[in-house]
Amino acid sequence: MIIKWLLVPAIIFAVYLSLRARSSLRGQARRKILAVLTVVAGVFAVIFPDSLQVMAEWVGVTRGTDLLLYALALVIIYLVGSTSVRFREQESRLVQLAREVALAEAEVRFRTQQN
Amino acid sequence: MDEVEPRRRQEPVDAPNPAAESWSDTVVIVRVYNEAPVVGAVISELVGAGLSVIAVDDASTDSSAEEIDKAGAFRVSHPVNLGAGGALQTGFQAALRFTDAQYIGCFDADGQHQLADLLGMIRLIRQGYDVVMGSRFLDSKTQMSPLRRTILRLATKVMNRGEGTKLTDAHNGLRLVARHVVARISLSHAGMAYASELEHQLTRPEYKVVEHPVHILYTEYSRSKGQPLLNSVNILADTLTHRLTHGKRR
Repeated sequence: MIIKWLLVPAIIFAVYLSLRARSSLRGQARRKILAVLTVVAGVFAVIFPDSLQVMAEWVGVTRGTDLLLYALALVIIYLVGSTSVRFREQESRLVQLAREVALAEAEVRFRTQQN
Repeated sequence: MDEVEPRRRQEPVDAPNPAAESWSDTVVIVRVYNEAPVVGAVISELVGAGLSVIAVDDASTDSSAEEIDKAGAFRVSHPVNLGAGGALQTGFQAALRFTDAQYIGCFDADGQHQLADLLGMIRLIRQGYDVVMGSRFLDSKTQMSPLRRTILRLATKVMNRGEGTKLTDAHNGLRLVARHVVARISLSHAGMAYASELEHQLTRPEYKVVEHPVHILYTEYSRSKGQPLLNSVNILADTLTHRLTHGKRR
């Protein structure tokens, strides 16, 4: 069963990759390549419906739809991880911004109090 | 970075007239989030004792801001709610920017902390400590349910293992910190999980840290506002994911 040897590292890699998904240029490029590949693979699977089944049998999965399901699960794992990391980053930026606003406003009152 | 101002000479601890004691070397940070019914009294007591108070209004939706202004504290208002850790960090930065206090204290707005405990901690830190932490477990004055006591003790044990310190009360909000220590504090947790992060930054090996017994009043009001025990799950999960994504903390 080749699929087992593919899926286990893939899951670990997806989690690892998603948790350190910083909004770097390299990460953005990687995501764009992934998007293009997805489109190409989708079109390919529509034109040649049997290709999925061939690929599934090749890696030891009974049905092509199951292979698709596995791929989907990996994508979701990656998405959940990277979204939460990006959400956190966004949040920490918001915190800093709000703090600066609060301190700046307080500073104005502080100065007028002193004069 | 570590410029410590020369310690001001203070009255001896058992001065004949303690009422004349001056607390001008200390500023107290009070985080306020929708505490209008009680915050006025809490701040008034602090101000009345001669302490200067910075109240961080964490985007309260009730009349907390007016109560703060009436009570005579300096108010810093968040435009949006940032949570306890975010408010504390704002308070620290405000204290460094707007005051030249040597000692910076944290005090809860809901009335569960006692002024006398804070004053005792100020006397203690003047003896040359960097950090004074309040602890509910140094004596048995604080009444709490056995379940709460067990969970807090467990949390403290977990934290002590992680941080290499030996404190008896990990999640106590009453703290007093010297200015040069505050200048190095940087909290990235905005919510309640800031506590273990703060603990870590307050107990660096080069600091002189000491605990002071404090008495917490679990009033009906503070109980209704306090964290439900289930929230410890949130705190634990936040702490763990933070360590995962940020790696070992410096």
